[in-house]
Amino acid sequence: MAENQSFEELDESEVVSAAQAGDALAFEELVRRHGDKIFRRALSMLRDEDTALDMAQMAWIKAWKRLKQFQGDSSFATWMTRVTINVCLDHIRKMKRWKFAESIEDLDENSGGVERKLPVVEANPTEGLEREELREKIDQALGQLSEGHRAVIVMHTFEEMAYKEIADAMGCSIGTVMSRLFYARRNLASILQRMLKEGETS
Amino acid sequence: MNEALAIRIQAHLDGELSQEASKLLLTELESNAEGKELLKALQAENSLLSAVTEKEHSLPVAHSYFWKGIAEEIAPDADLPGHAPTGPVVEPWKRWLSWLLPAAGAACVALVAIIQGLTPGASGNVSGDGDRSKLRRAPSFHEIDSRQQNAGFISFRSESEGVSVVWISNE
Repeated sequence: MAENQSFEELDESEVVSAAQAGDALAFEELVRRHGDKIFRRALSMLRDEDTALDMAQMAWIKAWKRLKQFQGDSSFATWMTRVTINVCLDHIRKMKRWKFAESIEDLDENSGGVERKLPVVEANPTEGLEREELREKIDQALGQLSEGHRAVIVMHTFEEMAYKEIADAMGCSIGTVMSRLFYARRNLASILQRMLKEGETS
Repeated sequence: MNEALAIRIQAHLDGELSQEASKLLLTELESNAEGKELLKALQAENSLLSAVTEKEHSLPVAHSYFWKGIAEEIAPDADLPGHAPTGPVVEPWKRWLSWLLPAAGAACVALVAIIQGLTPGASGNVSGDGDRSKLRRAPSFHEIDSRQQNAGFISFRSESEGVSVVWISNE
């Protein structure tokens, strides 16, 4: 226990080094520090608490096995989040819930092309909402997106990943990422707009 | 609107276009009202998402429980201090059973003693004079060897007095 307490006082880089040397207690400290964030990221991608918990655990196990690959180019949290995203994407692939489109044409998705989508979306469908209410609405709207759309929004918007990084993670072309992101954003805006209208009428 | 243009507008907003390509796009948009409208809509959505942080979610289970699942995978043979052992874990019902059995045994013995003390005629069989209180007070009856009551007899053994008493029910 005393050893564990000493890790609490150490800088992140020291804890990471100890974990890389095989110290499971140091690794536990990393889990303690970043457990919530990693779970949150898995949940934002999968939207199911039990699955997110399993995937978060799996991500930590995978991270332990690959810990020596972490070179410190980014923060440990960023690296760990990437591991988590990859685990979640693998899970989604395995569940065959989403097929990776190979071309922009394939991404016409479920509601038609750009021309059909754009006119119905206002510039800011959430104008006038309080911040907390807005956060809630966005969370709900994200929950209504397909897993593929949600994943790309999470990676780009919340993790600030570049198109190339997203393409690498998804195993697809940059063109596919651009299209998917575009439709994801338009869908999100449409859902938010619809939710707002429903809120006004109820 | 042409899809390629829409995606270029998005790439411009995301900082994925080169400076030159961005300049070219903005020039193109000066004469394209629909393109300008899309740019405005995407800008609004971008600023909205970047201004609002994600909803907070914490681990729905205790850290120790969450960590245990990880520890079992990464260090199955390690006995990490402060945590549940990663080896075979005694089932909770077995732990209960380990102290319930002696307690149940003691309770049976006590029950038999009580029943024996309350049974009319029991003392008569012990002392032969019907004085039941003698049996209850007798300090030397420290060992009780009891059979099931249904069997119809109970035996007592006093080591200090070197006497064994067997009570046989006539019912």
